[in-house]
Amino acid sequence: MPRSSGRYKQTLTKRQSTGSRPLIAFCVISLLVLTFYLREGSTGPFHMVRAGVTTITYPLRMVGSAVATPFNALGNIAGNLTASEETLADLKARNEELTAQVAALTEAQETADRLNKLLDLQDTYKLESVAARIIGTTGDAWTQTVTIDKGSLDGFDVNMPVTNSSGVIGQIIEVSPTSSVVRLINDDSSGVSALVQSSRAQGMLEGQPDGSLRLNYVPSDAQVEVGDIVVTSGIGGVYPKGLPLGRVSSVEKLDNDLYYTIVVEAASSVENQEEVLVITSLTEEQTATSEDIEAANDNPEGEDAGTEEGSDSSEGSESGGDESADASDDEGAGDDGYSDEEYYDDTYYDEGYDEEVS
Amino acid sequence: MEVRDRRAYMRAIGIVAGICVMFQMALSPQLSVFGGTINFMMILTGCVALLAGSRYGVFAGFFSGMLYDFTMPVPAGLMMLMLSVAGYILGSGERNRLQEQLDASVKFFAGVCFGVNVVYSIALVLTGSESSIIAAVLGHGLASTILDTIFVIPFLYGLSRTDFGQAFSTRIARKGYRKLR
Repeated sequence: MPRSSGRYKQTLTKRQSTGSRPLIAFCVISLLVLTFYLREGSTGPFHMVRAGVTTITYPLRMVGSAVATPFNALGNIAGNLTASEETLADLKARNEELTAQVAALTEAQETADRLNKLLDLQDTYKLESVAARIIGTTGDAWTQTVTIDKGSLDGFDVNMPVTNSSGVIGQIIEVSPTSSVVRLINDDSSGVSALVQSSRAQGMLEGQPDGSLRLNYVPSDAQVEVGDIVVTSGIGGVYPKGLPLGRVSSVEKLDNDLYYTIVVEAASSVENQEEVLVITSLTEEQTATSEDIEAANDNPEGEDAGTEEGSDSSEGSESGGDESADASDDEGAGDDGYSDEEYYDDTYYDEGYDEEVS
Repeated sequence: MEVRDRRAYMRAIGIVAGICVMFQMALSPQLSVFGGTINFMMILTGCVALLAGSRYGVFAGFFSGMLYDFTMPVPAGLMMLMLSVAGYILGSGERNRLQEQLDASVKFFAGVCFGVNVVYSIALVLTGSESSIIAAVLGHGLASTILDTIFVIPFLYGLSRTDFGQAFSTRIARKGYRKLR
């Protein structure tokens, strides 16, 4: 039976008045929760409950993050469009500052890498050396020289060889108390006793007027190929033997030539503020022995000169002789110096090339 | 009819609650405009209170506030208190005014929401969670009020267009009474 509208209105009014009791109860509960929460500090049961609820709702948060990411990007664009001039100026200044820091740190990293390589070089060749830094060129247009930041006060002297992390760069030619002048190997008046690492062919690495390097006086019956590494021979007692000088970039020989025309690409390039090692003294192992010199004189073309001889290079002592030699057997030999069978051309010394300083 | 309407009503509230809880967990932390965020628990409280009256509004406010307090880095119990009071206020007066007075309901909600946010901001300053009362009230509070009001409109509009809401309307009940007769 339908109710009368009057009773229904009364019922409805009565229902509307309920809620005050729950309100009072919930307000009391809320105040108690708030009070205990503020009293418990940074840890307690309420924080634990919050941690648990957060963990449970974490998947929803991840979904929301994934959904909202594209819209956040749009919001950033809008924010950037309305960014104030002051904000933009601050950001530009900060960008410039960070760019400069990046450049400085990159340079520092490269310096660290070079120093590490210098240390490796020092350890590998057991060099007794002192580090220095190139502070600039001498400014002379006709010479290939650089200045380093140490001199006689640091124990430096004329004729001391100088290397960087890639290989030999030159030799000290002038010394003052706090600086030294280094003549680079590609200087016109520079000459370094050198040999081709693979074939042990002897020669003299000389600088050219155009700044290039030539390995001269290599007999035409020696085995020399493009890509061969050229190292110091140690003859003369100035440069330690075995230090890299460069790599053969071209080999030419005309029909009646006695020697090759060999162009060498330097192993190292010299840069300002670069760290270098000045070799202050040589050990016995680092210089060519008298036997080495005699061997070089007798066989300047090296071990595999025009032959197919094997690894016993004593059998190949006669120039252009023995056919049993296998050139491939000699590859990689002499990485640490010369074998007893190496010979040197006496003409080097007849012409006064026993010392690399001109 | 009344039982069937009640079930439909509860189902609708459940749907609204599920949507609001999901949005509160997933979207609310991601959306921030001019320092304000959307409080979907406030929206849920407002929908239930405006639809079903103060009693249901108080319950909805309390539990919505509890969920808010235990999912946000805020003092627990504060939003529970705020929304309980807000639910009671919103639910006072004529029940289910949505269908006939939607715009008035939205305005009423905006006013109560602003009051809740102001009091909440002051409470945060008093408890040390906020340092500037001006920034808290005019910055976060006002912006949040605007966002809450904007986002409550589709919920209220949807609720006002469904049939279950008519079961609690005095005027519609009279019409139903006439039909039965």
